Amino acid sequence: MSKGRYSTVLRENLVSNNPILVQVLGICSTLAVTNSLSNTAIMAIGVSLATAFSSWSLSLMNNLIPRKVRMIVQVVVISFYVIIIDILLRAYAPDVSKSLGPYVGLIITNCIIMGRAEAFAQSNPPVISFWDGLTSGIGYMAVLMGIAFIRELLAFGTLFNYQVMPDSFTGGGNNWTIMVMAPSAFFMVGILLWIVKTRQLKKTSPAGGKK
Amino acid sequence: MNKNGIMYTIVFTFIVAFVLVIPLSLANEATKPLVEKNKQLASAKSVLVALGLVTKGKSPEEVLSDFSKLQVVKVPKPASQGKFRPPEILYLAEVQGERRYAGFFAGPGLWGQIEIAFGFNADLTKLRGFKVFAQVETPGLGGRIDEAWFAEQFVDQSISENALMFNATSSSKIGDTQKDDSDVDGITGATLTSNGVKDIVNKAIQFMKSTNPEGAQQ
Repeated sequence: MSKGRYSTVLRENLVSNNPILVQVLGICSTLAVTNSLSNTAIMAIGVSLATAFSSWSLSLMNNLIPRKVRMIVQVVVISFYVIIIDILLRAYAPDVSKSLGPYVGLIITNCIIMGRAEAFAQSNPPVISFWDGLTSGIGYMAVLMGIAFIRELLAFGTLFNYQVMPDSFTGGGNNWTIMVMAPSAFFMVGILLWIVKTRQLKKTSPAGGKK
Repeated sequence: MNKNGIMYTIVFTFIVAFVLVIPLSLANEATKPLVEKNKQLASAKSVLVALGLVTKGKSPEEVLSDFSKLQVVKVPKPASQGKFRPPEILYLAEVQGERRYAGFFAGPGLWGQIEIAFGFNADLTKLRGFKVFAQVETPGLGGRIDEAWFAEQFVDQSISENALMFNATSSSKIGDTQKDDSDVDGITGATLTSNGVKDIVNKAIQFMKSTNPEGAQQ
């Protein structure tokens, strides 16, 4: 497999076909975890690993899976990897497991994993499927960390739980309470989607885009 | 065998499920003792923190050893109080020249049970410690009852008459630092969880006052 193919996949999953901003997948978890940078980082790593390994396994099994149970088998494989991550966290990083709680198990329902399994792993060899899964996760992580950076900063005045904003910000009630709750993520993802879509339209429109 | 025939489909699905579930069960079984040990350690730590004893920097063996040195006091079981679960034993220790009691109290939160270790001074005028042991509240919202600033509000907080008040709050990570006004800040965006914790705190106070362990000891 040529190096070119790998860098194309990377570029697409990070930018031109970003899971959240272009494919509009995985929005639920985006809204849920992004008020804390540390929770976001752990969640994104979990999604990346689960997507990478699931895509890899499903690609290996490609020719064996009967059409009728394709999605069922995909879900079983995805669940396997997510639950392994959950068991490992619970045993070896109990504090992390506690702070993420039910969100780890919910990775199974993250549309990105199923989406990549259907769109890529089904019709591509195992190694590049692994790479596609991993880079999709990284594209997801980039957007989430960006949103989490703003949300945590404005909601709590902290970054990775370290106080960054001066006392007058949080102590004086000047922090943005809405950033604590999901609706703020709605607005931010909406604004980001708006920016990305506008730029895409400008690029593809023959007249160079009109307002 | 026809890949899309019924026999193949059934056999294939069965094999896939079998092959994937077995390692999961093995992993689960293999980590069970470790998970149990973590739980015991967390439980011991919660009691020590509730009593106001130091756990920072101590190894797991030291924590467990400190825990085993605590005196245990049995408490008569009260009449059923619905979903509120008071402890059946209290832990007694002398800390900084003061006799203190701690126990696990549980009650309903938003999604499930919240279990908290509380520490009281012997005459029940002050809370000496607060440690959330188990909760399944929404991470990032109700789940923030785990955070240090929230627990810190309860340490050395006075108990007026019978109840502790909860204020609505800004989402700062500072909380209410006043220790003698018998009120604390709740968590923004987590009203139901905050109410759940408020109920547990106040029912715990009532339980301790009606049980009066210090009086029973003498």
